[in-house]
Amino acid sequence: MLKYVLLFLFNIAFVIIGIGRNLQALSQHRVSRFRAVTTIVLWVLVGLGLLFAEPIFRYLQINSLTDSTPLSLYDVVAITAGIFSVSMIFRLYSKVDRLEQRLDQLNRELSIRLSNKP
Amino acid sequence: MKQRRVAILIPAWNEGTVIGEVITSTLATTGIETHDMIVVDDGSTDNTADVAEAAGVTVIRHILNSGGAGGPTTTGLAYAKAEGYQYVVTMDADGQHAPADVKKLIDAITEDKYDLIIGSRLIDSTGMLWYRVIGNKGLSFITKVLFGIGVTDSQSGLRALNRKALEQINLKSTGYEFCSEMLWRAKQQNLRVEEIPAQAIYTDYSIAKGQSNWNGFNIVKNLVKRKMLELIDA
Repeated sequence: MLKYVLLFLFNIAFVIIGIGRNLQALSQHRVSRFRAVTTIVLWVLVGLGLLFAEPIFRYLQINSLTDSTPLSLYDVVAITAGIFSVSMIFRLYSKVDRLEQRLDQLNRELSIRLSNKP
Repeated sequence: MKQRRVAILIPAWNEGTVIGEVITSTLATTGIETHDMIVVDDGSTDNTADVAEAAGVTVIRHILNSGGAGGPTTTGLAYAKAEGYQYVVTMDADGQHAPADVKKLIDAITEDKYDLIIGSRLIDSTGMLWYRVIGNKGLSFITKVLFGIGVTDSQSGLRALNRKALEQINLKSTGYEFCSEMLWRAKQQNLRVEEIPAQAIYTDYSIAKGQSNWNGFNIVKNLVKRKMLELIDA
């Protein structure tokens, strides 16, 4: 039981951040309402999956839908580390892209300002 | 009366050998004033910018090379927008577009029926190299799969945009994938897109200088990256 609680506590932050970023993007009109709602629904499903991980696992086991062993403490740490790494990679990738955009913009603005008009 | 200022935009990189002829023949055929032709030199190591300047056209010299036609095209479009142009026609600097097709595009866009018009080399691909036909058809198919845009020639550099498209299309790509991205942004903004047939002129120079099909992989990779970043950045 404790392991499932830990799994939930360790990972719920990602869900909250995911939902928060989408709400922020929607309020700033950076995404369409449809896309924001779809992404938020997906995050809510992930959150529900984390919250009900133990009952879901039991249900799958009782109905012979899974052969996997119950969650170990190592699994909790590994899953959290995996999710954290992936989210960090995405954020860094996105930041590098934004930096690249700003450099391009600087190149563009400077080139236009320094251009010779006939 | 509505102001109809048309600019011709030529993104160029190391095209010193041919750009003079491209500028002269295009100006002669279209009747566009020299200062309404914008050449954006993407950090060439040859005399591209000097030749263009000698021809009397507007020259913007990129300080850094952007690694593809997207960077200089975006710069040229930003310049045209700031200068208040109503229409912009973009064309390649290697002489693969017939000046008569540029004129055709100017006539079509100034009719105000469409916001973005593509000069498609694949509506009638007669005279086009077979491997270029395959490469371009493949990229058009991928553009359709990724963005749901069905055009025959998604990679054509011969395009015409009106003021609405200039204001609403915000390109992020600096490489050759900008062609597909422009169509994607146009779709996002519900712009009216049309294609008209255009000829592709191949010379030994343009064949040697042109994009290889292998570069198509880079284009696909960058398009997937752009699509992914859009999802992550939500």
